[in-house]
Amino acid sequence: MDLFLSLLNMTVEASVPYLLITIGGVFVARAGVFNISMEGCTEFAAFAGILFTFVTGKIWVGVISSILLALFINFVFYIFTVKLNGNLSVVGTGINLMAACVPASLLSALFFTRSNLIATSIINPANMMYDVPILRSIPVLNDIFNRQTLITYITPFIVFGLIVVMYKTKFGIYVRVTGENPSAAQAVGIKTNRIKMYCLLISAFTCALAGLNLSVEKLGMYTINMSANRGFICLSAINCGRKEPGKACIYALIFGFVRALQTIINNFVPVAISSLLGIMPYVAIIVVLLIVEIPNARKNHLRCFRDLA
Amino acid sequence: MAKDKTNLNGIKRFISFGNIIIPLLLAFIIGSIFSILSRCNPFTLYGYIIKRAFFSVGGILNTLGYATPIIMTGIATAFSIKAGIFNMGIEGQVFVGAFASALAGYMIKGLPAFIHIPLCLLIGAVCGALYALVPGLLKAKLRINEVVTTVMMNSIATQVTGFLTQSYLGTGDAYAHTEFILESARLTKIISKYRCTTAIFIALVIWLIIYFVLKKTKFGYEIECIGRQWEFSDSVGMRVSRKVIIIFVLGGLIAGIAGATEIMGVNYNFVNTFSANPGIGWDGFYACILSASNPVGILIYSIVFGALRYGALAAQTWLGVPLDLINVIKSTLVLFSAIKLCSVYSEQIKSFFSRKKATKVAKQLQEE
Repeated sequence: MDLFLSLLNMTVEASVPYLLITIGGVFVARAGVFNISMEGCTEFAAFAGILFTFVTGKIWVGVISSILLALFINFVFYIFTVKLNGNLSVVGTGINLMAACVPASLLSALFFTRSNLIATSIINPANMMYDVPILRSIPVLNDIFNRQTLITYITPFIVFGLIVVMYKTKFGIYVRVTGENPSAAQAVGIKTNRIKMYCLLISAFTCALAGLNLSVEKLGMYTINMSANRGFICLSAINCGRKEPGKACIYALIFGFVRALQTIINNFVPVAISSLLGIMPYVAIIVVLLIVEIPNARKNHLRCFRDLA
Repeated sequence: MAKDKTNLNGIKRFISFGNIIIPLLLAFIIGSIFSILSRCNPFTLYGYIIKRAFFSVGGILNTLGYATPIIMTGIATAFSIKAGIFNMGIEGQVFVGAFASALAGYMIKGLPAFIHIPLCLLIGAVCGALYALVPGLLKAKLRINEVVTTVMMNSIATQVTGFLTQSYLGTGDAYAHTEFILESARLTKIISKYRCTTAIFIALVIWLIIYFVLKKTKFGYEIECIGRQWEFSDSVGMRVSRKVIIIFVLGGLIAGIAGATEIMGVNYNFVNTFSANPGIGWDGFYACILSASNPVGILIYSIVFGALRYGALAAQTWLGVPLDLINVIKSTLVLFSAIKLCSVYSEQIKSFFSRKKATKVAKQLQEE
């Protein structure tokens, strides 16, 4: 029972970055932009958060600069792809590749290490967890939801808020129209480019929060390749959920659960095998993608003539 | 009239030239900033890299040695990029191919070299191809986005091979590696001290074959069609899903050979870091993207990247410049090469030139 509760607790903790990246990515995907640079954006945000916290000694500077950097990166993505007509995949790959080497080279240039930057002298991860008084008295919920970080508590509000924005506001309609039929949207007078930019900025903000959650909140340190393919995992969550925010978030939760399962199982197996367990999330994704897509396999055999007949 | 045409051609050439030069300049500016941050004069660095990589026989051979796998991975990526498929799984396929050939290199005993070497290459190639078959099938049959699956497969490949070398197939030494491959499975080096092996000929043969296939055969033409408009190609009757699988498998085949030659020629055993940061698969990807999957361009960029790789390693030991610096330059190069600035502003450039011409004509008229 205890194990199960701690598994759920870990799930809540582990799915936060997935949920955040996914809900932002859904907006971008809905606006018709295929963005694979969420991975790089998250990585940069995680790095900037720790770097600026470490340099200035104040956490809020790190948080703000990390969000600003993420916004800047997605703005660059917007300029390069939408304005200057660059290939989406190439620009996205470029950003991802930069995220893989810029932190490493900056670390070795400034701090003479290549692997990590530890800021636990400024950030105490134990202090980042909040003990919510209401939850404390409820037995099961206390074990699952209490003593989580701030962003964990904000995440559900962000997710629900953005779902509401997507389906209940004018902006959400504009986003959906932009993705489904850009020329119709333009004909009605919607500035599609601007909508795309707003979506990318929303995605940047959520990616930044995810990155901050990974580095600043949970550990107080940055290690190379911290986002660990979370961007791609969320991309597949979005694809599985057919670009609908609610469904995509459920898939994100599933992936978070698998990640938590991996961490839990890790404690019970010898060290050698634990390195093998690292593939669990990736295998889970391929399996989930398969399960989701197999029912649609028939539809994919399209020949235009048959469609017309 | 004829003069007008040549002028237009000149502008076109200027634009395509600018498309190559501007990203290079921007990338080197950013690289310089990072190099100044690591307390090294950028010009010393670039000069040092060029000097080490090209101005001695050993340097050239080492450069070619580093370029060999990149040529293969680059051409393997070109196949799929031409068809509009972003196959990022070359790195994983390289790992699988290398691992398989490393195992075949010491497990199969008692064969003469002229059978053992092709056998190892074949095993590496087949394993790479099988590994590429998975995302290929997923893409062709289920339309699952290949970027996600291939990136996941990369992680799986590196982790599983790393796990196997650490636990069951390792030798129990301080650092994880498999047993050394037998003498009969090793490729000969051209000059024993330097990195370049006979694998360079394998790479060139593969390059020639693929060049021929892409330019001169029906299959190459179909690949290009699929890349432009796959719905159209499908309805015209090219079997797109079958072609997609073939493209993935061929890419995996070549990637597997690339990994195998790296083990059989250079490392002689499988270490999880044999495909050093950022990985030969990724270097091939860079080369392919930068040359817009043009085979000749891939050859040139592969040699440039081989030089950068060797030069960067030398610079790391002799100048203390971190290796990641070169990766920063490469990745910014990819980022900036995505936008064709001169093509975007081609109208402005054209009008700029024609205005210049107009003022010239006006001046001449005035003088007359």
